[in-house]
Amino acid sequence: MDDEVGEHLARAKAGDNDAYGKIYNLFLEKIYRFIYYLISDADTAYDITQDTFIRAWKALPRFDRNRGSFSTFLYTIARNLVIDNQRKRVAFTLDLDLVGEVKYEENFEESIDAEERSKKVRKVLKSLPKFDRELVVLRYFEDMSFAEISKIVGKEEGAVRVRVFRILKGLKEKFGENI
Amino acid sequence: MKLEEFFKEAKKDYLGVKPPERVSLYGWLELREKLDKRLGLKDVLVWFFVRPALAIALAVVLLVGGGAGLIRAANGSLPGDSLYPVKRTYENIASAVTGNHEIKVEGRANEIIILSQKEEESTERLKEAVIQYQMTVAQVEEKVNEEERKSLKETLRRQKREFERIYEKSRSRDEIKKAIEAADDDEDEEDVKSWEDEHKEEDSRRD
Repeated sequence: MDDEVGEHLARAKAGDNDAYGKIYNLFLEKIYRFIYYLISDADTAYDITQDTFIRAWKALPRFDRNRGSFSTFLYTIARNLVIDNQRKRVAFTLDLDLVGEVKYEENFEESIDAEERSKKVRKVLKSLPKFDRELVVLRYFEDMSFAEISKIVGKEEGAVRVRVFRILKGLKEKFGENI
Repeated sequence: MKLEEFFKEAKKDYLGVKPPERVSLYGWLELREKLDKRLGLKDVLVWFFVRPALAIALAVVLLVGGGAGLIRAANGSLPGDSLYPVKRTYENIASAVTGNHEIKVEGRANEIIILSQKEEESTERLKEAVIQYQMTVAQVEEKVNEEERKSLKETLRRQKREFERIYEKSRSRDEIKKAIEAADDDEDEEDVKSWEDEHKEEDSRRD
């Protein structure tokens, strides 16, 4: 995928809109999902997703692959926009129970299982502070390295590592070995 | 459930989140329009200084022919032409005043037909025209009420037949196929499939 992204990036940097469209389609689902999980509103998640790609397009001439992957670059922009959005909201409370209308591609029985599973999962995630939830999403759902996460959240790699360790410890203390 | 299992389950839940269908289908088209629209003062200045001949021509048309002349001149313009933005602006105003959104769909469809018939034309302009058509259909479909939807469907069916007609002679069949798909509503899915099957054999012979 990296080579594919690299090719499209080179063309997009030269002003090729269609090449940027290919990049958009490659990352749309991932970026939307990341934002949606943090923001809990489909329309807002879509707006922020679009803004993420607009900002990335504008910043493209300054983007340097040697300083990090394009994926990291997009997640950083998305995260910053989510934070901006949360700041703007008065008395914003992230309620993961409100993350409704999740579209599953399973059949009906599977979707009931999925619903129960997601309720349980969200209950636990809801118990985490916002920043910790971001770290869990990036580390365990997006499978990112600590180095990548540190770039996205703007903290030292060591600090991220320690924070993730403490999150795990906290979860174990709170819920025991069996969640 | 152990912590490791919990993270596995949580990841499944996370990956189950998909963008709404509308976003997957039209997200890029909407974004593309925004990217194109974001022209700053710098872009406008560059346009005027780098393309002075066009700027002068535009000024002359404005002075000599007045607004009506400009609109007439812009009426036959195609995507990429200097007067094309004038045509689109006029269409937007006409559509807002009359409430007839189909004007835009008709305009975009005609552009595809004209461009596909111009032998000297590059595929790029046709590609752009098809993108504009796809976007316009999607936008108009969202705006119309139930009554208008019936009329729009009729228009789209007619346009689909027109596209199918030009498909035969077109040098850019892939683009025309995209236009046919955009004009197609779900009820006609079967028809498109059988129509595609009909042409598949001919396509492979050409390739």
